[in-house]
Amino acid sequence: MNKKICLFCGKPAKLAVIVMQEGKEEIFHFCGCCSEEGDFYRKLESVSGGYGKTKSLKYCPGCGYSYKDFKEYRFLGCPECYRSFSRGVTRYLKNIHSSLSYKGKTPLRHYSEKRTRNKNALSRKLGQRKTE
Amino acid sequence: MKNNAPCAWNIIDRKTAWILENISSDTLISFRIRLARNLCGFPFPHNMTRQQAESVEKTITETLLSYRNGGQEVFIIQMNGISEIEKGFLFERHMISEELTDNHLPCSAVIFPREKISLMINEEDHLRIQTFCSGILPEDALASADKLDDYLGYKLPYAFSEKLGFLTACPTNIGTGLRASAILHIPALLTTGRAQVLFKDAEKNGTMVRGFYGEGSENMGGFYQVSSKETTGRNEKEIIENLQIVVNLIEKEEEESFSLISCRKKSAILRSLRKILEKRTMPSSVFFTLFSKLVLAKKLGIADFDIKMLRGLFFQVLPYHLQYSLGKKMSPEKRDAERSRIVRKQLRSLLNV
Repeated sequence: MNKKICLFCGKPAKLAVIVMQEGKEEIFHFCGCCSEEGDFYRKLESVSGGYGKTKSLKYCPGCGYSYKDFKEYRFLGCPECYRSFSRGVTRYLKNIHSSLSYKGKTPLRHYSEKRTRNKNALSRKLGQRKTE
Repeated sequence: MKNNAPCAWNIIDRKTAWILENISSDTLISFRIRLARNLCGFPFPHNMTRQQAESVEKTITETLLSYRNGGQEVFIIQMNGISEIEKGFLFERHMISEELTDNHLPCSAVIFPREKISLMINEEDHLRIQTFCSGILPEDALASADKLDDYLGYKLPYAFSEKLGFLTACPTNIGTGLRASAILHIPALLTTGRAQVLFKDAEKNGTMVRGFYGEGSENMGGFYQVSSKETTGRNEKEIIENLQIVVNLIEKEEEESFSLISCRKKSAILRSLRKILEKRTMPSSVFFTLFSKLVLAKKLGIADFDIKMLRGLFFQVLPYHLQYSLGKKMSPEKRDAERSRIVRKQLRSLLNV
């Protein structure tokens, strides 16, 4: 899961871009050629989900699986693919399921992890206020 | 049996016989709940390296070993350590899927016989939890699946999204990851020709009708698997309740169909029984037909034999069970001849019906 590949072309990555969104850090990797192209920043925005756009990557940064393979086999490469190909996957899910609203159970670990995340975010905010 | 002592297999054999304990008496043979789960940080099995598959297998089996539900026994069977016949044996018992028998990556089956639970590691998803109950009470199967799933969900980092639910390799299973299915035996509905109409209604009501061994398998002698279709948009209980409504309807129709079988059809059943029993070779599909006709004849009161003997016979002559009990690989032709010999011996008295 540690393959560093370019999100645009799947070649080995040379540049890492860190994007901060909603207090969470995300790292995106790109090869030398793609990062030097003129419309790089526009493309970066589309893959990082900037300005509230849904993501539409060509390759999943989590596992290197391609969107083309998803379209052909209708299988995803890893759990992260659901976020990487969110636009195409959501469209497909709407076709195969009559409703996408989740009404089932939540794993216990998810609750405790969420609580820890909220606690950390709160203490970070409080820390910032003190320094101000 | 390279890695597993023969005595362990005898225990598995004896303690998983409940799967079809209602096979010769009831319409609803068994009920199964299947939950599909995956771990964060690993690709799905079809996209995994050998090392990643080993790591997932180890993580899950170690967690399962710490799940001591009252100190009951648990069998962990590594698929690459057992023979093709043993794999087939587990498949015929519905403990594992056909996909797991063909998997070349490290994968395992874990069986808790007393709790009627079987798990598959590295099948289509990292983990598939299956719980069974014979006959009614699917709530029991859900409760026992939930108990184990809650434990594993606390110990392991499940791939889960608040918006979509449990994330699975195939998007058709996303959400609850739950597929409920019921194995039904409906020889009377097939005889009266009502089955196809009912199946169309069942499909309209959010269920799928498949063969005895599920997806991709064919109907054999009136054995079907009716499964829930949707895995999201409803909670676990609602999915099961919907399936139960469809199953109850099919059961009721099957009971009513017995009274619609005419005297002419009854004589035809007896004639075809005798014809099948006279043959010296018997493929599996023919045995399934024979089995259904025997159940039908018994319920209609036109033939008399021990129903328990018939249940024992069912397991004895399944292709892999046959090879397992004889301890050798056999060609389909030899199996068909041996099956015919066993069936004729057991049902000798019926030849004079």
